[in-house]
Amino acid sequence: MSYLRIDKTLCTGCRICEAACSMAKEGVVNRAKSRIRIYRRDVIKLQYLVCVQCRNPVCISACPENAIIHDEKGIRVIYDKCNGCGACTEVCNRVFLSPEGDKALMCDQCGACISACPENALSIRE
Amino acid sequence: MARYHTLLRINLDSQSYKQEEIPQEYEKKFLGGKGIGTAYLLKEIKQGIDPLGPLNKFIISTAPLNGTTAPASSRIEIVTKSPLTGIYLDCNSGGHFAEELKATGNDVVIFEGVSGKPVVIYIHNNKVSFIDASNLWGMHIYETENKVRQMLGEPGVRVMSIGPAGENLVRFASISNDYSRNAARGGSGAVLGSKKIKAIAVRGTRDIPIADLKNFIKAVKKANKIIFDNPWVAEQRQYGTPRSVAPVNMNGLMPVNNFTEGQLPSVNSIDEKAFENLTVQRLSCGECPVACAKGYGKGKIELEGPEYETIGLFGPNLGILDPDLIAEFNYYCNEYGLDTISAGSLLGAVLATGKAGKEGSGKKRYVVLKLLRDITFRKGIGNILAEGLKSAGRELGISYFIPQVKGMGIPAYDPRCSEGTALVYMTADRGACHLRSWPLGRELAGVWDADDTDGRVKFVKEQQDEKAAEESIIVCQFAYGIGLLNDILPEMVSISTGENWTLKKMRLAGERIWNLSRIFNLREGITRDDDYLPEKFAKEGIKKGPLKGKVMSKSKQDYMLDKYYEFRGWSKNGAPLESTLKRLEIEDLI
Ligand code: SF4
Repeated sequence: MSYLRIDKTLCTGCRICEAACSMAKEGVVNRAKSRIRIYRRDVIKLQYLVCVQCRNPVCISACPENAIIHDEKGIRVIYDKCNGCGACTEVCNRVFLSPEGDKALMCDQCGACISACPENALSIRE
Repeated sequence: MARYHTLLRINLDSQSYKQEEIPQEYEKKFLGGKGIGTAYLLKEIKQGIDPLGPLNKFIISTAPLNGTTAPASSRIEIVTKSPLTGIYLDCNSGGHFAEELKATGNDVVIFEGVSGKPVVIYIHNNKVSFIDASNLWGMHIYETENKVRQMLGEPGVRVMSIGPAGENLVRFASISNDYSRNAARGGSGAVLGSKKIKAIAVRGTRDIPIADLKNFIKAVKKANKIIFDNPWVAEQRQYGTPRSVAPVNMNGLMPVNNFTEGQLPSVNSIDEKAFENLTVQRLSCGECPVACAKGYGKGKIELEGPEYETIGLFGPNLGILDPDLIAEFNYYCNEYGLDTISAGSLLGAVLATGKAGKEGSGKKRYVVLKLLRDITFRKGIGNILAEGLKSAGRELGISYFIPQVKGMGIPAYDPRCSEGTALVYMTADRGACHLRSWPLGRELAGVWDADDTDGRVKFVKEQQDEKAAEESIIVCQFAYGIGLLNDILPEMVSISTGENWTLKKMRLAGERIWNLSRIFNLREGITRDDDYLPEKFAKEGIKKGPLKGKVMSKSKQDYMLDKYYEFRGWSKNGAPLESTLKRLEIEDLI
């Protein structure tokens, strides 16, 4: 399964990836619509959050609409089914609720952020 | 576009708020950021009001490029009347606050009045909450930010806060955001303290309006190329501002022992390599590909920095060459919320004149830490120092030794080093400031003949205008250089706003801003007499190094002021002429 890997030794927390993501997926500059989030956690600590296609995808069972599936393309949100209830975001902090509250935002490894990152901190891994 | 045209006015007396439309004239004439903030300050602050009283206002101003994907565009401007100098103050800070505030849909926020009790203001899009902060009052800055984040439970929130120095109205108290990014100069932290605002938290989830996104993306690519093609930037990226330590010392303008000697035999222990070895995490402001911030961490002493100014003023200026000790002083300034430049230049004079009393002869580390604590909590001599550089100089009888202009502490470049540098400090709108223009590099490179004073003066005036425009856009000079060096900034601003900006128009906006701030200062009683360096720099030569014996004579300063006023279209007393205001189309605003 491929996933987006963040190299923590390289990332500086500039969040250029967040804006690149929102432009690629939503056509706007809005970091609150990004599927990758780099938060500041303390004076010099960052927190790096993006779906890593984990082995135990609790989001799938949490979703009452069966809108998150795991198939040959990986773990992903079926947007026709998602109603934005936010149950998945309650069980995992690597999925985000859109600011309008209408859908869950999950990385689908499109790679738009990879070329935007000035530190080469991002890559797709198997 | 790239603007919401919206001002958020927050009244602390009544805990109410409303949104207003920003006059189009302001956007057209003053760009944004520093410019629009200055226009509001001049309009809304009455002459002679107490900067720490209820009639002062605290203005946070964003600019067209904030929140967009323009590189290095996450700096925020604060404009207010300074409790340190009693005149115009603007200061700015990096981090991620600017892009978050912008995404709330407010271009400018004005805080007025005084809260009855400590308060955290939370701006979430167009909603403002007033949260009781009695339990946070007294906390240091890092803990405050952590507590506010916990309280709001929103990981994307950005926090600007004050520490005990701001609460205790220390006149050079700073404001911090993202833990250790500071809008430090001139005491804006005390203004928040006087309003009983412990912190301002912001969370914005609105789309950033960009008029022509497709072409904006192209312009951003171009900007990135310009930035990465600049070899100066590559070095900034690797070493950050500590890279200045060695050349400043080599050229003999290091402030050593309260601006007496210009050079130390060696600064190897505190140069860029020394601090590179101490970096535990590289950090970046929002949207910045330069990422010059160096995360320092040893035990609880954590910070982004130290930056050059702090190194110079808490290092050689106090006779200290231990990088960990400088980081520790920086840490306490951050935690208490103190401006390291004014604190460092003030302490330099206090130590050099033996005014720290009996304790002054103890170990430096102990003495400095105690003075910082006493200033913050206004104990003993600290209470005198907390009133600012000019006042402390008078009280302690050491005015001659205090490095300040208009009450603002002098940054870490000896002003006797060059005519241009002296003029920059003399004429900066907020008092001694090194960020308004930077002629020194050109002076050292021999761009002007030795006797070409006029060339230097003209350059300072023009770059001041450009820098004011840059701070109204707002981008960081470490990525783009100081001022407006090519068309990329007008291009990005035009494409994102849908307005028509050229270099010429931006320079004009910058010149307007310099005239507005001067008029504000004249109204507060500033005269030509306030535009000089302290007497010491005219009388006493630098004691060591290649600039040994160099002074900045009164007659030289006089000549430069005459020329400077002439280039600005100001009278011999430094007041804008009617014809100048007319030419700049700002006569109605005054
Ligand atoms: S763009 Fe790269 S360096 Fe910047 S926050 Fe994202 S992953 Fe980190």
